[in-house]
Amino acid sequence: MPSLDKLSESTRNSALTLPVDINESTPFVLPKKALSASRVAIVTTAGLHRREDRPFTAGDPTYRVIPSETPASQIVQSHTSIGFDRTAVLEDINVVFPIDRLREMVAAGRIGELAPAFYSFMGAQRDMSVIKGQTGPEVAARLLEAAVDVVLLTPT
Amino acid sequence: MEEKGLATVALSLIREHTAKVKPPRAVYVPFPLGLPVGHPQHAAEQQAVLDLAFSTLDAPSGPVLLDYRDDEAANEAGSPVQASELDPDERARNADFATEVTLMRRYWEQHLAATGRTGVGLSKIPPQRFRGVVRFLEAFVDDPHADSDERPADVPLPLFLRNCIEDLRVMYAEARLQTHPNESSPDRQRWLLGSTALGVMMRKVRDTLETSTDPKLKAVAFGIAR
Repeated sequence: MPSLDKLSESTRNSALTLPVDINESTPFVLPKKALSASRVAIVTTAGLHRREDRPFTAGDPTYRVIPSETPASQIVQSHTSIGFDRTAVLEDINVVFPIDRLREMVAAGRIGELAPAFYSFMGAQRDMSVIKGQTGPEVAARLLEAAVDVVLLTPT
Repeated sequence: MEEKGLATVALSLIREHTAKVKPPRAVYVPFPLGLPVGHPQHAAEQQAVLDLAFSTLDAPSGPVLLDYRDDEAANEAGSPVQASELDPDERARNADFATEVTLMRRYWEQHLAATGRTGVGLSKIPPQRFRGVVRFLEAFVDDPHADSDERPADVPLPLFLRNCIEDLRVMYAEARLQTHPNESSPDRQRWLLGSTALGVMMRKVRDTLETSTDPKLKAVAFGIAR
């Protein structure tokens, strides 16, 4: 996003009042494999899900599973905040969920393979306690169980 | 995830926040909110963002925070046009909402046929029945106790209102993508808010919600127009 001064006043105020963790240290693991041999997953906070799934509501701390072979036509967005440009994802899902780009990277041998499932959370959270304590670790466990090596995290 | 052994790479839209959170690896992108990987249909740009993001996997330690440079994007508006930034024009004020919705639905159907994709569906009401949504919204503006027979039993009225407005907003946006495929997103936003009866209706619904004594209805107002 351009700097905060390029936002509308209401959006700038929302951004400035979002709860943000201030961390002194950072967990860090060295990748065990080259990207070309890695299994990659996308985890997004764009509020995406399959059309038949239960939509997200404001502050919803749950997640949705999106099988990686799901066609873009079957993925919708129920993150309906008017604070960001939702029409971009209508035009091209890759603006936040770069599934086509990753498939191309696999075809070119630059990524080993895609994980069987990707995940979406809901954005614009004010209270992160359930995501931090429950649903986030659940997704982490699922990714580990699926032998994922690298996770691409996308905001909205 | 990183603590469990998963190497993570994050895209960042608000650099100030990312600098405080200190994720293991992140790339700040200067794109508007909603498009962290880059602009629609700009595959080369999206790939360049991903290339930079995945390059952080080579770092021997973290936190890593790189910047994807794009001076043109950095000068774009970071967030959409809001209703408070412009007034509806004469055409919008005089347009018949029901007639406009019917017209937009025709263009939307063309877009759906051409692309096979739509974001419409939150309200669970098919666009062919959006005239009923129009009547509901018009009734609600006159009487905040108005309800709709189409509202699913498990969806509270405030959420149903929001979903109806969102479906109309998305239908209009997709209709506009069909008729003006080369229009910029800010121009499309200004058209919807300033030149359509929907833009007028969104403001009326917001105003009605703001006068409600029900706090749940009041909260929805900010999410419809601001």
